[in-house]
Amino acid sequence: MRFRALLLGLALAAATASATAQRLSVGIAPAYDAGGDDFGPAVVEHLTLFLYQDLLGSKQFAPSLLNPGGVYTPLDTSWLTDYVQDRPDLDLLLVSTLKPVTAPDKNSWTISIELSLLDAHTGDVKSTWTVSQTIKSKSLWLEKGQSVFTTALNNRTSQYGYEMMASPDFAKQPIGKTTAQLADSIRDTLGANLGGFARTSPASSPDVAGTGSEPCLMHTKVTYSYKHSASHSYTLLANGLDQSTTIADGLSTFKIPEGPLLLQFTVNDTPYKLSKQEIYQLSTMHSCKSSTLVIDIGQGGDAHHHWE
Amino acid sequence: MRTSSKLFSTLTLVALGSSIAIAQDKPGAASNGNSQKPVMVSERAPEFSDSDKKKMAEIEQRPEIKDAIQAAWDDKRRQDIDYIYNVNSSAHFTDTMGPDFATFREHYGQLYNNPMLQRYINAIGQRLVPKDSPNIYSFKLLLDPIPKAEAYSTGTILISTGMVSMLDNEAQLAYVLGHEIAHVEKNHAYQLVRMSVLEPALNADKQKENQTKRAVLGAVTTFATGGIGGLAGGWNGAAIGALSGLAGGLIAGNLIFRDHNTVTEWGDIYENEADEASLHYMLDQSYDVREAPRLYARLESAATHDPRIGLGFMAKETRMKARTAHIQTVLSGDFKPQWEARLKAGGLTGSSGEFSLIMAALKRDNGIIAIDYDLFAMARDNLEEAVDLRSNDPRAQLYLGKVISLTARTAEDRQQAEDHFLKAIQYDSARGAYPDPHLEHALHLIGENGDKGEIKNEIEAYVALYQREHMGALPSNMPILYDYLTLVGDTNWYAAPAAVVSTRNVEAIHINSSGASGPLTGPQVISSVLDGAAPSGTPTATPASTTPTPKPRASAKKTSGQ
Repeated sequence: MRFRALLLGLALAAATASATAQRLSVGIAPAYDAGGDDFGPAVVEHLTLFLYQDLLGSKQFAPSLLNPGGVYTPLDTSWLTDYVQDRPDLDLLLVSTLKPVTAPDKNSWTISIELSLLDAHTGDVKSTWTVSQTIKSKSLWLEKGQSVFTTALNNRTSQYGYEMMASPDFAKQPIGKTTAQLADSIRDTLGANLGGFARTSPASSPDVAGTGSEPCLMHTKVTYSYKHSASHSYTLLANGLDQSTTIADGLSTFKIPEGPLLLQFTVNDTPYKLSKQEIYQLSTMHSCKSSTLVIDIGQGGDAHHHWE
Repeated sequence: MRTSSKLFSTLTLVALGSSIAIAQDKPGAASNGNSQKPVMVSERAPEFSDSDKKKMAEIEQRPEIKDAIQAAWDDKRRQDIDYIYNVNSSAHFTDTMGPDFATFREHYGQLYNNPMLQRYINAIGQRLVPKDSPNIYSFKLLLDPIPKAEAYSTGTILISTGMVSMLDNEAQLAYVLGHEIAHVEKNHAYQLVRMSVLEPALNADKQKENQTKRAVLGAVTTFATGGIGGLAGGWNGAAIGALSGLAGGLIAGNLIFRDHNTVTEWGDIYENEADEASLHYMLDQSYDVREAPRLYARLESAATHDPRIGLGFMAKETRMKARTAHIQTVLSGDFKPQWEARLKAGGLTGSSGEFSLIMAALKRDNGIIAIDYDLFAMARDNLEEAVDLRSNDPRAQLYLGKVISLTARTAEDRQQAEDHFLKAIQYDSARGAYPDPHLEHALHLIGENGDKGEIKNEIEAYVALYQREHMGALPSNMPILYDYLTLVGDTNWYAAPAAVVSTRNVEAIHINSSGASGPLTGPQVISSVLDGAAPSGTPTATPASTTPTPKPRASAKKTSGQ
């Protein structure tokens, strides 16, 4: 099950946290849907997470999920480099774009992801390449049907199961398997596409926390500081567990052990015109020394976080 | 009238918004003839077969078809001329508050009466027109919170304040205007009319042909199977064979000669064409073409937030995503080297200082009109941005206070509204053009059990400024205002309507701002009321603390105690 692999990956990452400094830190921008097809949103959402999972176990790369907002477009890399200005720990930025489907023949479609690797400090494009997978067109139509059917049956289940996280359902479906294969291909080709990148400055110390501690209380809150307001309506998964029910007056409260933390959340009460991301996926390290994770969403829907 | 006369509504047509979804559900609908092939955004243009093309060319030469196309096109242009005439007439209405204008506005809209902004929009639009264009354009702003942009066969491009208020920068404005220009440049209106005549004619011809073919097949199979039956079983066999042949022929005929009616979603095709052309117009003027997909992201989120504003049409995910994808495909395809070269050479323009300046006024006025539509989220957002851009604008402060007050849930919200009313009073203190914040401040004080003298002064200030703004007429709810005054202990103060005042004062009444000695200032108007208003024993309070001490004019008359 894909999600168990995620937990295993997080555990692995915790074990290798001390070795993080030797690895190249890669910021993963959310995969961008430039395909325009119905399955696009589900593919890009899961591709980002699958890729993160894949790279968690890597000895060469330390992944970090980025949230540059709803107005982010891979055509404007300066937006992304501006977004990571406060992230000196990042070496590289990985930009992925789901391209329009091509149909070599009527029975099979080719799904392609165009990738760019950028120097996180200069914004220089180090390399671009494409990975592709073929899927039977029939399978894809079927999945679309299932998705609609599930939605009609139980909207909440669908929201969580299909859209909110790397659900077993999605990973089991042909399109999910294809997405996972695409993520694997990206992982496998990343090392060969560094474009001669070499870290010139010493690696920044990652915010490594102790691991293996007893779970301690932590809180999260989502703010829109440019509007001087906070979110009171959001859904939250922390390391795959639904913590939405613990949210009271915009503040979530739950127990979690120290170590790598993957948060996935959607916000429902964004200020007018704010171009939010459909889903925010955020990776950080949790330490019991700091108890509140503040996530601030900017005017472009871009999310930054800090511990208090 | 209005609907039928619209040529294109770039961003609000229901049909356009939903058509991609239709094409995806019915892959053959766009006559690409391949139901398995994914409907790719770059391949949505119809592919008529060679025989269909020949047939269409032949049909188009028929005199009755020529006449039908010409008549439909003439009708369209006539509608557009009439419609634009009425839109332009909106500028001549003197009474824009009455019911007549409301009816008119509902049908034709209202031009935004801000010459500076009209000039700005027109200037940006004219810059985008291709140099070799034979068309003459005029770009106009409508005061309408619903985001829309429309092109007419007259060369008129109308864009609403609601649309402009959504934009982040001038490049996005250029994209929207360029899109509308493209509809005119590419003759989409005429093509739409032409195809609305040609396609049904083509389908009718094909149906007729198929009917003939089916009849022939039916007859052939009837005779053939009847003959075979006759040989095998005599007359009975012939009858059975003929009947089964007839039935089989009918079924086979319907299967073989099916009616492949062509119902093309021309709207989608033209929208994609216009999107693409607009990017070229933008780049010609060095606007940052990468702002186009951002605009769609912005519009999509606004539509999700508040579907009432009409963006619900755009927010149809399939259409929006397809459109963004189309632009993304264009920008990352053959067009990419062009804009990248321009980006490297001299950079691309996102916005200008002028844009921010004009946006302050536009967002304020769009926010104000949005309140009338109960589009509170839009109103508040626009007014907050207007205040951020120009904090000393009393009108923006006043209406921001109003929208916050209207939607206030908590004491903090109400205090926030009050803060904006106080700022409105402060920034309007010299001119005294806005009576409302004084009343709002008084109401807040009443709710808070505030200083009675101040409440009284604010109500009286409101009445005085109101009279000046309305040629001496009193607010329609004077009995209620007297009641408020009674509640705070004042049972004496009385405001006379202008007619009464004018009969008892030889000099110009103090609400009149004309006169040899110059107009009265706001504080002078207020003080003329307050100076004689305080009854014995009632503490004399100043108007809102933020208002400077008024200096009454000697000629100012008092309306109290009459």
